Amino acid sequence: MIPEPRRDPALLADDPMAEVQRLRRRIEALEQDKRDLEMMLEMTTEHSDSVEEELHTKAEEALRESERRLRVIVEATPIPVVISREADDQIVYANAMAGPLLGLPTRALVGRTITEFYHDPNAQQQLLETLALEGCVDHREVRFRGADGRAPWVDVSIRLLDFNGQASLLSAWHDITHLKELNLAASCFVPREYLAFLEKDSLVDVHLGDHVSGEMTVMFSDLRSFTSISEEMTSQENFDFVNAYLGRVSPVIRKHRGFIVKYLGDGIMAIFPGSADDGVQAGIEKLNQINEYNAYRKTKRRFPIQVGMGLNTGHMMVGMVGERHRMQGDAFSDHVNLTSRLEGLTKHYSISCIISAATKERLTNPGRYDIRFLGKVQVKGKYKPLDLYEVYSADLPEFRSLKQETQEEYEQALAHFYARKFAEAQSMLFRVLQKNPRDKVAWHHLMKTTECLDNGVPENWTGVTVMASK
Amino acid sequence: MEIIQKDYQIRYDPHASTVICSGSFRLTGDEYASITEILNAAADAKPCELTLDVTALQFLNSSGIHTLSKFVLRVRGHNTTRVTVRGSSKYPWQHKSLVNLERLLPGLRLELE
Repeated sequence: MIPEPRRDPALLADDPMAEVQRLRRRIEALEQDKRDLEMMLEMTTEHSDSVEEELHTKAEEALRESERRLRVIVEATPIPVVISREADDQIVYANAMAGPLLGLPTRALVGRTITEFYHDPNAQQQLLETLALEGCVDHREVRFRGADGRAPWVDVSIRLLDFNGQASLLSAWHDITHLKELNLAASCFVPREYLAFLEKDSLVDVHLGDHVSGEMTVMFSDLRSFTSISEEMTSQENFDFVNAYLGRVSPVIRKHRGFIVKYLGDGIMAIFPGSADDGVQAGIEKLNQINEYNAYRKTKRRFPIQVGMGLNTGHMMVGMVGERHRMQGDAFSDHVNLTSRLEGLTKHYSISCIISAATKERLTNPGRYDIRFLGKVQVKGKYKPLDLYEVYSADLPEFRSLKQETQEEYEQALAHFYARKFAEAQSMLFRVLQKNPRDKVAWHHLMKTTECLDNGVPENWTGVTVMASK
Repeated sequence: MEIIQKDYQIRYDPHASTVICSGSFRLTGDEYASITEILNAAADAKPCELTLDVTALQFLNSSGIHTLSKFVLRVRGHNTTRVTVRGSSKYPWQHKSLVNLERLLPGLRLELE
């Protein structure tokens, strides 16, 4: 760009031709400038276009390369992976592992929708909601429906992804059917409720010595006279009989927020960590189940079965015992030992259910159950006698109403007995038995009262029954 | 004279009458001032032969091509120097844009590797 020459006013006047020459050169210079500027503009524009084109090509190449890499990675991934379009759920890519999971050749998956393979379409909806909310889905267990009729369990993780320029979902499906089946099988040995109680997520986390301490209600129950009954049966009949019985009563424990710590042959040891009411309600329902079962057995001309159970509430430790290679659940404490004895005492009194005073005191509303005083016992080695109660809510209606009718007089008789007023106790028990001659507990107390009346009692007599410790 | 930055380098060797540019010129208009300074120094030395080597210049934005154009026009203004531009066909922009420098400075030699 040529600078304008300095003008000499004298020249203009003296030499017009020189001025014309000067102006002509000036115009030429300006025209050159104009051409240069136009060329520069053109060059810059062309350069911009070519650079833009180059960048675009590079971006496309980068995208293709990234998709190629994705395919290589996904193909080499040993778990099924599919990519589906977000807009219409259609599968646009599936790796070699995806086909076998869904019971189809992998190439047949492309074009199908993922919904087709969800056992429950709501489950997919829930996953998509999580994806919308959190931007990803991690390790959610979902049941699939394969084209071959299989219904595999799958651990699903989903990520949002741009694939071939379209908003897509990358889903990784880990087949956990075998694991689920193993867990299911394992849960028969260590139930889920027990794992939850020990605050464990999985059986793998359970170790010898893991335990929980606290106040809980424990229940022991046993089939009455099972040993003699079983002698009459073949070994297969024995197993069938015990399993039929346990199969009926075990769900009741779970229903009332308890869990079975262990089976003791035909017996059950169960824990109710929540409340004493759970245990008592489970006990009553269990006895009602037995009543129903007996009605059914009667139609098959089979002998009725009888069950005895003891319930107690107190501090105990519940956990895993055994050795590294063989573990099982168990519970320890004096309260647990006592409960086992209470269950044994049901035979002595010929009743179905005994609870300790500790359990009775913790009931939210004892009035909703049929409970009557049973007697005082002392565990050998312990100084303090314990009050025991009979729960007769599950007695057959006829016996239940007779016990309700006579309860006041019966309990007064027992009060007289422990106050050494044996004559009053005896006459009251006679009246109770007149109304309800099949009240075996009243008979038991009448026998004891009569014995005390006939033979007299020593000075230090307390009337407390001493139980041998376990 | 030279500028050495992480993303780009420019060096003027007066003895060899060569300006070598490399890296990526991805600067804004004002940021080209120091590069213009080096290019002007090379042009104003008015050598008979001057080489602009952009073989290793991977990227040049629009402000960059504008800066190179002004350099070529400055050399043309002196009317004393023959310019050779060395480039590489490895970078597509060079092939398309360096040719245009010839239009601003007829006689400019373009050598693309």
